Formats: sequence, C-alpha cells, structure tokens
Amino acid sequence: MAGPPLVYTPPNYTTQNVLYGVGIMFTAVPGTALPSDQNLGVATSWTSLGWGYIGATEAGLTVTFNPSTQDINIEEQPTPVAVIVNTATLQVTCSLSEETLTNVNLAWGNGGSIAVTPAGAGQPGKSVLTLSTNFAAMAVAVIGKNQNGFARVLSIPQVMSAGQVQTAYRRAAQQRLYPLTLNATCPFAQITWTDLTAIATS
Amino acid sequence: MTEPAAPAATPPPAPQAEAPAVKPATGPLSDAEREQLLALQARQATALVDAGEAAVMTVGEPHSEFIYGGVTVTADPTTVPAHLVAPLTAAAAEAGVTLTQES
Repeated sequence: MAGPPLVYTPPNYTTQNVLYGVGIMFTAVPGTALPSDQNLGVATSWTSLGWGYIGATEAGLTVTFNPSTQDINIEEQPTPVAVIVNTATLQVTCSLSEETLTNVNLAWGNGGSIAVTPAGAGQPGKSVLTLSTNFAAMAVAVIGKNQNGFARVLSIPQVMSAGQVQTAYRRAAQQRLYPLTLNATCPFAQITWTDLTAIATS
Repeated sequence: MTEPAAPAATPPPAPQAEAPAVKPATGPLSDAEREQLLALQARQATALVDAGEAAVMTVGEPHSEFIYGGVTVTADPTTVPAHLVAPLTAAAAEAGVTLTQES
C-alpha cells in the first residue's frame, strides 16, 4: 500500500521587500541629535539640527560590514566547534561628485579647517582649507526608503574618514571625484537601524 | 423651626467637547515651526553653555566663518560643543584665524 503523496510546497517570497534606490548620507559632529521619529525622512529636519548633506555621488553609497573570524577547532572533529568574531569593520564608502571644500576636507580625513574671508575693499572673498593629519571623528547617518515608503535610517555615532583619495582632473572623460571611506570607530552596539513602519495614530 | 434649605443641586457638568485629534505634521517645516525650532535650539544652547557642555565662540576679522570638524563658528556668537573648543582653537591657530571664546 502506497504512503501519502510527497508534496513540494516552497515558501512564498515577498517582492515588496526587494528594495532599491539611493541612500542619503548626512554627517555631523559626534553627539548631534537625530531628528524626531516623525521627521526622520525630512531633509530640512536633519540640516536644521546641524547635519551636513554630502550631496551627489558618482555611484551611490556602499555599506560594508566585514567581520574576520577565528575558528575554534578540536582534533576529533573536522568542522570548528565555534566561530568567534576576532575583528569587525563597518565602512560607508562613496565617491563624492560635488567638489566643495567641505567635501574635499571630508574625504581627506575631516581634520582640516576652512577659514572664510568675505569680500571687502581690495579683498576678494575667499575660503581657505588648511589640511591636517589630525583626523576628526564624526557621526554619520544613511537614510533610505523602506518597503512602506518611509525612512529607514542607519545611524553610526562615530566614524573616521580614512581612505585613499585619488582625484583625476580630466578634460572630458569624467568628473572630478573624491572617494570617501568612513570607518566606524564606536562600539558595535551603538550602531542602530531605525525603520519607520506606520504613521502615528494621533 | 424650618429646616435649612437644601443646597441647590449643582448643574451637571456640561459634556466636554472632544478635543480634535491632532494630526501629525508631515513635510517641510513651516515658517512658524522653523521659528519655534530656532527658539528651542537657542534655549537648548543656553542650557548647554550653563551646564558647561558647550561654549560660545566668535571668529575675528578679517574672517567671517571658521569651519572645523563639522562646526561653523561665525562672527556672531556661536555655540560649540565643549569638547571641540581645544581642537577648534588649535586648528584656528594653525590656519592663522583668531577665535575668541566668550564663555
């Protein structure tokens, strides 16, 4: 006598969870408050609190989490009995397309200062970026749109800009780009993702 | 002897009109909201200065602004986080800019 029929029923997937679209990055002095939940998706709420928008990028943002692990092995078993995180890096990278002194400084370690002199009699207006290798920490937030159409915010309270920056000055082949590499330097537990899921009830 | 008159019955309280539900604001801030936000930020800045968590600095002529570490100090009194006073001062000295701490 044959047993019950063998059924193949794969789970359903949710195409709405497949997300795409640009991320918006703001930077600020460490400790700068985030906007209220209601205003996480409102750009002016960020800028009015002191967050700076990095502007256009060549190819969007990339967030890279890279843990390196240590296997704990025993002779009696070919597979490890545990895998421990040894070190972990979290980087946010992009190529800044807007060549402003603020962005140049951001890419070059954020250690420089910009002195602004207004135009006066016999004095053209000018801004001078003085560079420094004393890199300054900053906070960063990456905002994207979630499957509900609301903001989803990755907040890293402290990062440092430390990456190779190579800018090509070309006649017509490409824009001048400033690669930006932000490395998280805060405890991992301070990094948060906030996902707005529904409007307030009143 | 007449009995004291019974106290007049107090009229039942008028039914209170239900407070209209406050709709959460969305979108960009209005001019009034922006003014309110600026006032609140000024109040918060004063409180931080009083608590020693912030300081007030100005930039001297011929400069109108000095930007360091994401903070912009202007010729008007500017509130900066206390932990940035020393690096701001050092960076300004390197750049030949005069910064004055007012509190």
